[in-house]
Formats: sequence, structure tokens, C-alpha cells
Amino acid sequence: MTRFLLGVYFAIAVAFLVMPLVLLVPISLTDSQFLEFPPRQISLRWYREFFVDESWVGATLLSFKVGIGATAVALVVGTLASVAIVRGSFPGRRLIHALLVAPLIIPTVILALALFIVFLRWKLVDNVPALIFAHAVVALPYVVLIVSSALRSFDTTLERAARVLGASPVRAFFAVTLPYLGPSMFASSLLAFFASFDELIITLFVSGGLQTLPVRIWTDLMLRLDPTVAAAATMLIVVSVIGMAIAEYFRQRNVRRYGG
Amino acid sequence: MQQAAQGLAKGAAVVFRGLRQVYGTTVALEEFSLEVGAGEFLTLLGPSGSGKTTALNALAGFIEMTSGHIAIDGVPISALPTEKRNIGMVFQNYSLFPHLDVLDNIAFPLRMRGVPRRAARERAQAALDLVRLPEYGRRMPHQLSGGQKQRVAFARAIVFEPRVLLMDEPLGALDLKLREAMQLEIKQFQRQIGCTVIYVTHDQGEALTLSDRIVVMDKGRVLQVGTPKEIYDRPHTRFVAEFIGVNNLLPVAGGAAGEAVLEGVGAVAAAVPAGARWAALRPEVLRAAPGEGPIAATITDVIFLGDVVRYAARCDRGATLVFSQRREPGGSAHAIGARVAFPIDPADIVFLAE
Repeated sequence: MTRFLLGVYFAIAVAFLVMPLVLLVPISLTDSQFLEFPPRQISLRWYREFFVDESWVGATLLSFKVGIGATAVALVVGTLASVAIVRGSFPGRRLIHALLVAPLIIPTVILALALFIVFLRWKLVDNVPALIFAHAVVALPYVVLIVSSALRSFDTTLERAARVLGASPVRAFFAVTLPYLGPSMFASSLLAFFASFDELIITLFVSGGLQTLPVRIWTDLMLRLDPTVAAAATMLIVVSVIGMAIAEYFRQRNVRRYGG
Repeated sequence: MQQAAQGLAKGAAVVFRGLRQVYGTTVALEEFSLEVGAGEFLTLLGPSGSGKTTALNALAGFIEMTSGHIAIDGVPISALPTEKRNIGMVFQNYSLFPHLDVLDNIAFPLRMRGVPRRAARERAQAALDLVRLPEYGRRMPHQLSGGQKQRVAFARAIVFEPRVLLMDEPLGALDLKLREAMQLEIKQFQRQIGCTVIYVTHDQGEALTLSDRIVVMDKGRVLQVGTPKEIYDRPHTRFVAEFIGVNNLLPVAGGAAGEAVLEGVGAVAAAVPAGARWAALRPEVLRAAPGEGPIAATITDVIFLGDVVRYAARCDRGATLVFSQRREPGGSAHAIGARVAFPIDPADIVFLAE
């Protein structure tokens, strides 16, 4: 009986989480002018609309550009910071760790306001590299959390083995430690990428005239709502599922190799 | 010149001089001085915390010593970083690189020394042949059994022909049967290669089987250095007598001249050296004859060990003696409760001062 009730509870919880995403797919396939469910006629019309409209394509490209840039910055800075935090023995390591993870906890509006003030002061509004760094701040916590925890569970005798077999400290890190961190870095860069990719609030504050995909969707919702939004969202879901599948593959391969 | 005099020996001589390692207030290693001969198989034996691994880590360069120095073939190495010391090492948990296949693992030290990839893999294959796993080059480490990992780790440690090989409890993770087989193999490999081996273990049986010389350590100090036979037959201290094999340890009470009184056992006609406080008697040298005698006892326990049977007997004066007898065809065994007498040969007694 308990099993059955738990099963029902589980089904409801999953439905609550997944239903909106599942509904998006048929809505995006409608032929109608409006968001409707169920669609009366199936068509790829809104997908075509998405790729024909330069503002959609431009926003998507900008989102990719900013996302990739922010991920790269977060990955390099976050990994190096993790090495320092886990391996170093200087005072204030915990404080630095807390600071790097803080953007995950601080309300985004506050962060956005702070960045906005700084960007105004240094005339960085409407500037793509500046936007990349703003997003990197939000993406950084994921890298620091995941990579530093992976680094903590890393068996350092592997590095010792590399050293005694002839590798300098830096070479041992690249030859032995980095391959171990690979899957964690990949997983964290996926999270970092999507943290940037769907970042709306900070972008609204600091982007000026720049339109990323979430901003484009946002403005669409304000002005005229058509199923292009649903089409864009569906494609986003597909991309993220593929990304997560790849990350999971590498994670499991690591578990096999390093024994959990 | 000296190297030429060593002839074919490919191993290097290692000298430890006055090594001392202090962590906070604990002394991990104290006055550690040792000369390891070229091509020698030397074992550092002791319980955990005895300082044996500290000495090994100092030689490998993993830790910086508080004081003292180390030389390989007369060249001081204390200032050299680990990677420049050219030492082979096998770790307890193998430490194979999980993301590289077996051949790349073995080729790793060669690649670090600038050997081109193809040549490195050829030499790695030769090392793999030596450890009798020629077909395993393409496997990943997680696809190997414990014994296979151990051999690959060994191949990786010797492929660049280091003149000193360190082994840190290399058989610790294997089961008994495999451990015994691997002991023989390690000994064989070492003879083939001729390098100096410094081996760390807490297993006294392993130390006796493998070593040319054993260094017994406890609490950061060297207690005794000697061949396995010397260590086994003539321990210098009570700790060594108890740590290696099984020993009956009896307090020595003063007796008349030419007579040793072993507490709880009785008097034996033996000259007691000055300062002797303990007498050690190996179970296998104790002979027990059925019946009564000046030193008589009752059998309290019989332990069947296969080729030998070990007995515990309680002497009339209170002490329990352990003795063992080979099983002989038709030979009679003692039963629990049987009476036996010990004709103790004074030559078998080892007197210990501490």
C-alpha cells in the first residue's frame, strides 16, 4: 500500500516537473497564430519562422557567443581557483571559496543591480566582452563546486607516481590530474553554459541594446506572443538533453576507470 | 672506478646519513643511517608508524627531511626534485593511470624522458613481455585483476632501467595465495634486472622470503639490521624477537652461576650474559618428550597447521610454552591434557637485554 501511494506521489511529482516541457512540443508544432493546445493542425511553420527572422537568429547566435565565452572564462578561472583552494594552504581559502560560490546564493536582482552600477561607471553597457564577464560570474560557482569536489576525491598518489616516473609538477598535473577532472569539467561547463544561456535578469540590466535569446523571448512575451517562442524553447530542450547525455556518458566512463 | 669494480651489478648503492623527520611534536624518523649495497634487496620492516614509509618517501623526494642527507652512488640527491632522481617505484594501490591503456602506462616514464612514442611503446612491450603479460597492452587498468595490475605497475617502474627500485607494500592489496606467488616473481624479476630494491612491508614472512637484508624498525628507530637468518635466529631486542615469527619470551630471574632461571618454567644450565632480562625460545627448537621431567607441562591446545602441529603447554611452574612439531608418518601427536617434559638445550636460548 505504501509502495503504491509512493508510486502515485512520484508520478504526480514527475508530471508536475515535466508536463510544461512536454506540452511545449505540440504547441510549437501548431499551424495557428496563437499558442494553443492541443494544436488543430500540425506544421513546422514556426520553426521556419524562427530561422527566417533575423532577430531570432541573431539573438541565438549572440547567446551562443556569450555562453561559450562565459563558459570558457568560468572553466579556466574556476579550475585554477579549485586547484588553489583544494591544494593550497594559504589563509583565506574558505573565504575565497565562499566568494566564488556566492553568486549562486545572492538574489540575482541584487547581483544584476551591482553589475549595472559598475558597468555604468566604467561605460561597459552594450559591450559583448563585458556581458561575457558578467555571465561568467554566474557560471563560475558551478565550476568551482563541481571541480573542487572532484579534486578533493582525487587520489594524489597518482600524481606522486607521475612525479617519481619523471614528470615535473606541472606536467604531472596535465598528464594525470586533468584527465581525471575532464568529465567534471565537462559537466560543470555544461551547467555553466546553460547558466549563461538562459540568464535573463543580469542581461536585461547590463546588455543595453544587445538581445540574447532569453531577452528576445522576454520582449516577444511583452509585445506579441506567437508559437515561435515555443519552437525556440523546444529546440533548446533538445540541445540541453543531448548535452546532458554526453556529460553522463563521460561521468560513467570515469566511474568505471577510477572506481567510483 | 668504483662502478667498474662493481662489475655487472646494475644497481646503485644508496646511503642514508642521519635522517630525521619531525612532524610537529611527533618524531617520525630518528637518526636513520643505512648503507644499501648495489644490487641488494633490502627490506624495511616494521609496524605502521615505525618510520619505514617515511624513509622511503624521503628517498623518493615526496617529503623534505628535517635533517640528514641521502646519496645514490655517492651523489647527494637531497636537493633534487622527485622527477630528477631516476628512481623506480611500485605503490601499494598500484597507482596505474586509469585513463591510459597498459602500454601507455608503461611507456609513461619513457615519454617523460623524451623517448619518441613508437620507441617508447616498443620498449614498454618488452617490459610487458618480461612480466609475462604480452597480450595485455591494449587493456585499460580497470580491466585487469589485482595481480595483473601489480605486474604492470612493476613493468612501469623498471622500464626506464632505474638503478634503484622502491616498493611500498606492493603486495598489500592481494590475497594470500597470490601474494606468495608474486613474492617469487618479484624475486625473479629482481635477479633478472639486477637493480637495487628497497622494499617496505609490515609482513615479516614477506621480508624473510624476499630480502638479502632486513632492517627492523619501530617508532622511528632502527632496531636491528641483518640477514633474514640473523634477524630470525639472533634478535637483539624483545620487539624484534616478538615481531619476527613466533617466540616464547620468558623473564629471566637470577640464578646460581652457570644457571638461568626462566620464570614460570624452571632452571636451565646456561650462562646468563650480563644484563639479560628475557629469554627467547623458538617453538620449532623446543623438543617435547612424553612423560615427566625437571621441566614438565600439560598440553592445553593443539593447533593443526598442515605440515606442522603447534602445541601450547602449561608448565607446572605457571608459564605457557608454545612448541611445534613436524608431522611425521606414523609419528604420534600429543593430545590435550597429555603430560610432556622439555629437555631445553641452552644453545637454543636467545638472551635479550631489553
